Parts: sequence; C-alpha cells; structure tokens
Amino acid sequence: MKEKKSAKPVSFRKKTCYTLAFCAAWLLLYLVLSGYHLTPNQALRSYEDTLLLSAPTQMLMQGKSLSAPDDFARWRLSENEDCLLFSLYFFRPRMDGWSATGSLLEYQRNTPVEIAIDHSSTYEDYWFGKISDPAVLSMEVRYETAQGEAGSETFWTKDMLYHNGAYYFVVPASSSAWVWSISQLVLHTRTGGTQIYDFEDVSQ
Amino acid sequence: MRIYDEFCFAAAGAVRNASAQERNAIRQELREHLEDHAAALMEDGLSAEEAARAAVDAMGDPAEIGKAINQAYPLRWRILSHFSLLCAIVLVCLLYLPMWTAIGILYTTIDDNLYARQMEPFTSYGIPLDLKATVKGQVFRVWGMEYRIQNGAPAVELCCVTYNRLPWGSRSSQINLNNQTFSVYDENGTVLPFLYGSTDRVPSVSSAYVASDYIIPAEETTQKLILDYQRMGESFTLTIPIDWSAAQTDPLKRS
Amino acid sequence: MARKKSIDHTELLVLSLLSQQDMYGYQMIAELEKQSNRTFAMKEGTLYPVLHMLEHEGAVSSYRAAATAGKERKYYHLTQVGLTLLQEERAKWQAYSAAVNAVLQNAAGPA
Repeated sequence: MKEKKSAKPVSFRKKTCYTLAFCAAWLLLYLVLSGYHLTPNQALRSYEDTLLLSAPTQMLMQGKSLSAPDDFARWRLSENEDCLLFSLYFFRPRMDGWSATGSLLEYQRNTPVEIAIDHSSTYEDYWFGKISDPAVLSMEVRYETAQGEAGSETFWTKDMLYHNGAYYFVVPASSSAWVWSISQLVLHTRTGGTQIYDFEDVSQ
Repeated sequence: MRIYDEFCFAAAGAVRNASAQERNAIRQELREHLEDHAAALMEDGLSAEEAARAAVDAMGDPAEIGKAINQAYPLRWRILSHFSLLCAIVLVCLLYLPMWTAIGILYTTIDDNLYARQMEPFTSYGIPLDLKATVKGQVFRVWGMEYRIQNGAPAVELCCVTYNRLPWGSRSSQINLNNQTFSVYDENGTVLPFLYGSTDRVPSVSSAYVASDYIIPAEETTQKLILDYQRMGESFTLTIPIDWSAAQTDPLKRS
Repeated sequence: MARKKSIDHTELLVLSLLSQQDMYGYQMIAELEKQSNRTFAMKEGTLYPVLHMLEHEGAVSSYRAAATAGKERKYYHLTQVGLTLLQEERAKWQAYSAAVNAVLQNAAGPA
C-alpha cells in the first residue's frame, strides 16, 4: 500500500486507455480464436490454404450470384499454373464473417476444353472451365434432363473472358431445364470444324 | 486532527472531475501543507490547536479551492472513462458465450490433434506404425496396419490419418488416399488397387483430423508397399514393410 | 481552458521558484517570503489550483520524495515546456512593468 501511494495516482485518462486496450484485446482474441474473417480476401485465402495448391491463384473474374436471395453471395474465378479455382464467398456477420467455399479444376487432361461443376451453392450449380483453343467460336453443352429428355445449351466465346490465349467461362447451370447429367461438350471452331468430347474425358 | 480532515475532505470533495485516487492525493497534499504551516506557527509560540486553526484559516474557503483545482481536470476524461467502461461491459456480455465457444473449439481442436498424433492400434492383431510425410503444412500419417482376408485373398489394411502440422490448425481433406493423387505399388513395381475400408473414424465435430482405412490386396510374397503421392508439384513416397509371419487374421474379419 | 492573464503573477512566481530547484507546496510559500524579504506572501488558497493547472498543461511534473527525515512530500519539477512558459511570462511581465514605470515617470508629485 505504501508503494502505491508514492506512485502517481491513476487518472481517468489512464483508466480510459486501459479500458479501451482491454476492449481491443478481448475483440482481437475473439477474432483470432473464432476464425472470424473480416474481409472477403481473408476468407478466400483461408479456403485456398485448405486446398494445398502449388502457388497462390490470380483472380480472373468475379461477379455476383444472380439467383441467390442473399445479397452478399459472390463468386470468383482464379487460376494458377496448375489449376482453376472457382470460389463462392458470402457474408454472415453473426457467424464467422466472410466465408468461402468452391471447387477446384486441376489441369490434368490437356484437352482443349476442361470443365468442372460446382455444387457448393444451394441455389444453383455453376459450370466453369477453360477453353484453350482461341479458334473456338462456341461451346455446346449436351445434357439429359431428369425427365430423360435430351437438351443442349450453347455458349459463345465472345461472351467469355479471353485471357492469355484462352477463354474462361462461368455459367450458372441451365435454368431452362433440370439438368440431370451432361453427356457431351461440342466445340465449334471459326473454320467450321466441330470437336465432340465425352463429358467424362474433359471434366472433374 | 479533525479540523484538518474537515478542510481537506471538503476541498478534495469539490474536485469532481478527478478520479478517487487523484482526490486522495490532493487531500493528502493539502493536509501536509496545513501540517507544515502549523508546525511553522508553533515555532513562533502558538499552541497546537491555535496553529491548526490559523493554518486552516490562512488557506481560505475549501469549496472555492476545490472548485479552482477542479478547473485543472478536464470533464471530458471522466465522461470518456465511464463510457468506455460501459462499452467494455457491453462487449464482454455480447461476446461472452461466443468467446467461450471459440475457446472450447480451440481446446477440442488441440485435443483432437494430439490424439491424431498418438493413434495406434488397440487390438492384438493391429500392428503399430508411425510413418509420416508432410505436404504443405498437412501431415499424412500411417499409424497402423492389419492383415486381412478380403474376398478370399490376402490383403493389408492401412490405417491413415491426416492432420495439420500445427496443433491448433484444421485439417485438409486433400491428401487422403485417392485414385488421382496416390499410387500404390509393391516392391516389383506392380500397381495395386486400393479400396476404402471400414467406416471413417472422423468424430462428427472434429475439424482437426481425417482418419481413414484403406484395404490393399497383397500377395503373401509382397515384402513392401510403396505409397506414392503426386499433386500440385508436391510429392512424397512412403514405404511400408510387410511381415507376413506376424500376420494374424481375426476370424471375425474374414469377408 | 483560457490562460489566465499575466496580471495574476502567482504563476510567474511559482515558475521562477521551480526554476531554481524542485520544491513542494509549503516550501514555495516559505521560499517566496524569504526571497522577497517578506514583501509579499502568496495567497495559499491560490497556490494549489495554479500548481495543478500547470501540471495539467505539462509545465511542471510531480513526484513524491522524502523532504526531511521521516516526511514525504509531493515535489514539483519544472519541465522544458515550463521553462519556455517561464521565459514568455517573464518577458510579458517585464514589458508590463516597464509600461507602468513609463507612465509613472510622467506622474505629477514627488518622485
């Protein structure tokens, strides 16, 4: 007690600083322990870390989910040398902030078109992939509906992102029909040629 | 002396904007001044009582002095101090449960991680192993082996677990044995198929490890199994020795 | 908090006393009586408000130390800020007193 008296008395200013420091420490501890992500990039990097990629990916394009009622749901397409990553990220302020999930397409097949389907969203599936041949004009997706009917949807490369000599696409799964399974991908080139690929050969 | 106390308490009490400790210091300072003054007056011949009264009178009105000292202490910090205390209380109440939940999850994660590092067979026919490989912060560990009869043919069941290199980290499911990243050979280079075995041992809420068993058909002449992993520029090889003489097959496991 | 006008010379006296050495409250009063040859005594009631205001402004700092055997007192110490303030106030006072003297020169009556 004697020592306390000879030290300077604690002023309101010091009390305020200590209290605010305590608040900051409590908040910081919570953020660290709970894995709360404050920014989308934090969440995306955290998701990428779980995938054990060879190198961090570079973003190609991103957009908002069209049909999900949650205004915060967004998607991002990014790639590195070995793979193409499609991620979905959304904001849940009362849970863990931003969180991300998605699907990975590893470049293994060396076919002119590679495609993968992301089922992470409860509202829609996303078809995403890469067409490595710049001469391709359009890609036709032939599928079977749940009712057993055959259908197809065509996507034009002029609507796709062109980057480093390849086309990259992200499309929500066909909403015009209930797609049960995709059977083939058909590429139409500028020269009039047609290449047909079985879905199993070009997908993951 | 009571006369000092009356004065000092009245004066210090008027300094509303100072904290209780600061007020105590002011009270003490004023009292010491009065004592010094009274001591000087007593040297001049006054009695203790008279000196004390004269010293107090010389100071003036305690309330006025207190008010004047109060000018030196800004009101703003008093308000901010109470406000920040309120914020702290609100914050602790709001985050009380989530904080303990987060601590609980961390505790469970560390607990599970330690368990994954120590997993070993608890049956008499399980052979303990401890073969590890690390891929980008994830550890793949083969912790045990059992000899089996699978569809009438001899096979080896490998017990594997994947966990984070850091005890508080979460696991990735990317390096579990699968057709795309792993190849399994015997020592002659013959590729062996592998099949998923019995149920995953993942406890329902653990994000700390993935435990899986894989059954690999093997001839009784096979001396080693070689696991080869390749993905995303990372690779490792694990060699698992097989000693058929130690094989005990549990009749219950014949399938 | 607006600064007091320098006509109130309590501040000036306190600062100049502290520039000589560190002192505690009552010691300043005693010193002032001694140095001014008992010409004036500072009003004790105004000393502590002035000291606390100066401390709040950063012109002085305080610490507790032993005064004489067995006694502890709160000493005040003049800081760099206080030194600058002292010089300013001294200059103002000298200008003020020079002005008063100048007017008095012209006053009627015996010098």
